[in-house]
Amino acid sequence: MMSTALLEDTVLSPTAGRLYRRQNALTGLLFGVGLAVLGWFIALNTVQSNENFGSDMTVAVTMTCWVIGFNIGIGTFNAVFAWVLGHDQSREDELYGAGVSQGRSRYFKYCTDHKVVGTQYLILVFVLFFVGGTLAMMIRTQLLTPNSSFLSPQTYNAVVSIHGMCMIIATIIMVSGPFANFIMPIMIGAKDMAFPRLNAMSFWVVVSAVPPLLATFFVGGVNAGWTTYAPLSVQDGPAMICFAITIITFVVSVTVAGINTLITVLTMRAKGMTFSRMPIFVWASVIGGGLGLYAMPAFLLAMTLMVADKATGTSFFVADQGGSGWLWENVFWIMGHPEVYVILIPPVGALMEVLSTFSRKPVFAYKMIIGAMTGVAGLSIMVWAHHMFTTGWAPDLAGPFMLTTELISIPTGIIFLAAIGTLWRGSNWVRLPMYFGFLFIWNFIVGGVTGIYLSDVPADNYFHGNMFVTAHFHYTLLGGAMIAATAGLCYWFPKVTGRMLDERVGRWAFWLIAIGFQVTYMAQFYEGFKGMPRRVANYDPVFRPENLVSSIGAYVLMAGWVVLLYALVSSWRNGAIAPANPWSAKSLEWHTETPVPLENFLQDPLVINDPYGYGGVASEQIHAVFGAHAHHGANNGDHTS
Amino acid sequence: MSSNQLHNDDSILEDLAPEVDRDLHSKHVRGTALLWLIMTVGGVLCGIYLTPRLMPHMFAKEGRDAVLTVQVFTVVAAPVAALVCAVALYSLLHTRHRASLEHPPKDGKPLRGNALASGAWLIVSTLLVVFLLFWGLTEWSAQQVVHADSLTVNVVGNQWVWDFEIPAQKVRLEGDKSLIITKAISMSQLNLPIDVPVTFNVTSKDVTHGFWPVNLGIQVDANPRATTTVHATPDRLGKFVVRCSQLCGLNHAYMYTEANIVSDSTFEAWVAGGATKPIGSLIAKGAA
Amino acid sequence: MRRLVGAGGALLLATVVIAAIGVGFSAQSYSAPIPVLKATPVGTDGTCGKQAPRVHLAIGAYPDSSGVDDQGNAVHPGGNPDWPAFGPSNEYSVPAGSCVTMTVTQYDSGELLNNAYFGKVAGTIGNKIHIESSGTNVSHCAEEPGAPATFAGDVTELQPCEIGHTFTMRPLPGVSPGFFLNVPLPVAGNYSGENVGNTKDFPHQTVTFSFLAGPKGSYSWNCEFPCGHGVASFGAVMGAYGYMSGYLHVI
Repeated sequence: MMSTALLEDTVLSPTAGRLYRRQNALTGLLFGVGLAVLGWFIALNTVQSNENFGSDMTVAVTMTCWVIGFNIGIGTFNAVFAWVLGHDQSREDELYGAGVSQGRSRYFKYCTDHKVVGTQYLILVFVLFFVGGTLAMMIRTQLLTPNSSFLSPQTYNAVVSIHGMCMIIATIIMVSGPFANFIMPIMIGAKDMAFPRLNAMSFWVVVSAVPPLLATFFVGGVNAGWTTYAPLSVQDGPAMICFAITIITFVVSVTVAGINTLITVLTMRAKGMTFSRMPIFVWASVIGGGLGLYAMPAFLLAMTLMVADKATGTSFFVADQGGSGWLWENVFWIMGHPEVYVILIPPVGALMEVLSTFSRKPVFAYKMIIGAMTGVAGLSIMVWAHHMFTTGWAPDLAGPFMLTTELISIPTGIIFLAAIGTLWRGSNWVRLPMYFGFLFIWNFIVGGVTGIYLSDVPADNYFHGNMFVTAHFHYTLLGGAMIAATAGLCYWFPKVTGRMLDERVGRWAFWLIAIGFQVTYMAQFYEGFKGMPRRVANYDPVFRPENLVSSIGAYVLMAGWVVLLYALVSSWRNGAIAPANPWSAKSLEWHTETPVPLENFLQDPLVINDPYGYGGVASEQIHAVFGAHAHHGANNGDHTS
Repeated sequence: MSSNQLHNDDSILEDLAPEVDRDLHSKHVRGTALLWLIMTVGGVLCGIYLTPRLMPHMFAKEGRDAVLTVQVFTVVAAPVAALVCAVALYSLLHTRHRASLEHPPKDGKPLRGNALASGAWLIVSTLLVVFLLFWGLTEWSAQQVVHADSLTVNVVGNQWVWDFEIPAQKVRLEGDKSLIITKAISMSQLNLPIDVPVTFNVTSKDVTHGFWPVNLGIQVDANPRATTTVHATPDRLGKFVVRCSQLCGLNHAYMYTEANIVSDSTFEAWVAGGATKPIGSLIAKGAA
Repeated sequence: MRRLVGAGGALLLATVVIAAIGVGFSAQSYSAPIPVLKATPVGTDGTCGKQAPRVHLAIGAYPDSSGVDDQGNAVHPGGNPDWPAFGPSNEYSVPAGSCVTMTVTQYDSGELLNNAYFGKVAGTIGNKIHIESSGTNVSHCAEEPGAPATFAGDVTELQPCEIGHTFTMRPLPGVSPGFFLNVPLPVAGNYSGENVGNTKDFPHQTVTFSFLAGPKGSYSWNCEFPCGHGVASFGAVMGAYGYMSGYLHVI
């Protein structure tokens, strides 16, 4: 049936793409560095002389110039300028923009193909996790012994802060970047995202946000943790400015990506893809992206005010001049708690796909999952002050926030119900994604149960600011979200890379990760029960044994991730060629070729059922048919070949 | 294909309902129930016996409330957590497809939902949440009761030192004895008499700190230009650590000091001696 | 086999990369390699209230960390011209159980403490310090600029307006809990920042005090006078390790 010429084989004229032809990551780097140096030079000779804010202003100017310069160089603004100048893009320009005839170099360019963007995100996520993981190793090495002098207190605080933020950025984009871009549009039968250029923009903007984050180490380090509580953060050095520029830039990216996801799902679904036939992962991407649109702008606002406080002497957060640290804490957590679910919901959606496919069963309670995810998202915007139970701010609100926080366990419970309902009497095909699926269930149960202690004010008065909290949120975010995302990665790896993942090495990695993780964070729960504070460079020798155990566990955990990375890279390079549908799954991404052609489908899909018809009657086994007269269709067959 | 050919979820549910009912009496249910029972018992025992041993001895009711909450919440959560783990473990134990990993096994039962299971789950989890809330609010409001003649202690957070002050006041010690403090006492350690309710007025001279007298089980932030208040009644003799629980910059790790809970007589003697000597030396004298 | 070698190689490579980054962080961590100032006993006497080996430590608080001290040594390697610093080192070591007599020569000016608490001497033998003034020192307390400060001799407390720096020390967690040392260092030169410099040609205050070193372990010290920038003047130099902060190791 394959007779249509592939779009990517189109021969383009040598001028197609115009300015884009000359732009890539290198020109981005050159423009970024060039403009940054220029801005720095100008600032040095003007604002630097300001006694109070000179160096903060200089750093603010330099970093802003970097971000703008990089985006000029990579081509973020091309289309806008072209439109202003009256040069609309031709079809050829668009094809060039989508990467036609550029081979691998398109991965280093402002490429509008959602699959290229997804792959770029995937690589970026690996890089960020490696950086964050390396910083975690610094932390655990410092904490190997009670009075370690591996890192000075200043460097330790800087490492802790950037470990936190690097991981937060990485986890926010770990699913919404690679999979909501690569997989989700195919899942709904779309040719691309609704706004392909904004899609490319969301990626390159987040790339430009990373160097300022790492630059913090060279200008004194951030002392205030990833939460950057004011007024400590206002007191901090120019590193805090770099940090704020990173966040502001990152929020632009997340907002653009969120809007793009929402509009894509609203407007680009294939015929027959009704809301109640959408895969859970699509729902999760929409809910996660939509929640991000609520949460992240608060972060942008907060950080903008922070830059103003530091570089211009306003006093939003400085109590001595009429501001309030509590204001920062409120705005931060109004972002911060929904953000936890911005991280968590998309991986949980991915996990549901994995559980369904490998149990060979429909997801259990489809509509309740959607309701639960929506409920979690809705409640999550009303729970922020549970991070502030011990701050002394509005003690009378302890009750209401205890209520909303504990209510969240109802929809979260439904997600568990759906997970075990899907596993119940399933066929349990234990391929690698399923290993991570089981690990998620255990980790998230531990994270959930320990969460209820923290939601209780009298117990929180003991556990707040204590290693218990650290262990709790690593169980939910690393053990929960990141393990679910890893399940998703192993699941979609054949589709993204066109190769099968080496599951033997993957299983070695799994065991190292699973065991290393439990050892690391169970030891930290124990530290927390005993009363060890968080974020300390040195601790009382009474906590020595459990810290030693935790550090060893962390090394094993990191070794697991490295082995997994090896499995991914080596399989990507020379793994077995993947068939289009290695898992005999039903959703649309498995029913187009691998590698996925430009614009995804050679024949338009017509969706007739939800993608969970496992074990059902013949008519509901088929998720979609292809082409105008494609009425046939085997259960698990590939309809386009 | 037109829509009337499509099944909707509800009709499928109805089709399967009898089978679901039969499921509930099958060996799978019995196996899972056994696992659930074992895990629940394990969880409950952990909650009752293990968790209090993980936590330090508390010096006030507030701290013991925290320990009790951990115990109760573990016990309450155990059946739910055990159910999730039991189903997952059962499904793992019944994996029969190792031999043919290359190909998917035959499809499982198409259970798309079960009103009974979902409804029961919702009701149970809602009841549990109501219980958690009731428990938390009861404990919390009991902790909010302020004693009329409590000892006032001013706590000041500085980057990276705590300092304490007992302002001039009349302190009612146990047995209606009273001790008049005529001149404010400044302390680098937190010295308190036993069984006297204490009100801590907490503030900061620079950035936000977290006042955490660990074994009292209370915590409140020290904010610049604001005074926050927290109460506790230490009821055990001995010493423990007062920590900063809110990252406060360079030497946050070292921002801690000691609290000494001493007997009335020791406290009186210490105050009478001008409150300059380390209180520890007085305890030693009393013992000798 | 190929898999094993590959995974092992990847682990080795990652270990090397992470270790290299770790070494880099550790090396830049203590900003500049300042040798620990080590005190050795010069006999045994009863200065500290009981017979104990006696050691001396002499340090200075300098207004210009990028300059040199009387001996021509850099106050703080790679120092910042706007920042003060303690020198010649910020890390000291003394034997356990010894009686430490510290002499801090204070060359820097100062204005007001954030918290009067740090004007009170704590933790020294006799809860007092001895001050020798040299040159004309004008504190912020003076109503008329030019009035000399009056502190000298043995003092137990300084006014919040008389202070240039403090030497405030507490043990690391778990090391002899309860120890707390606070020594206010009076302002030298003019509080407005005039007439100050790193050498004895400028006005200075010599502060002497003794304390009994406890059992083995490390103590962290820092200055509690707000001599930085920003919120509570505790930014910049106060937040940068090594200028106004350091360790005393009891070995």
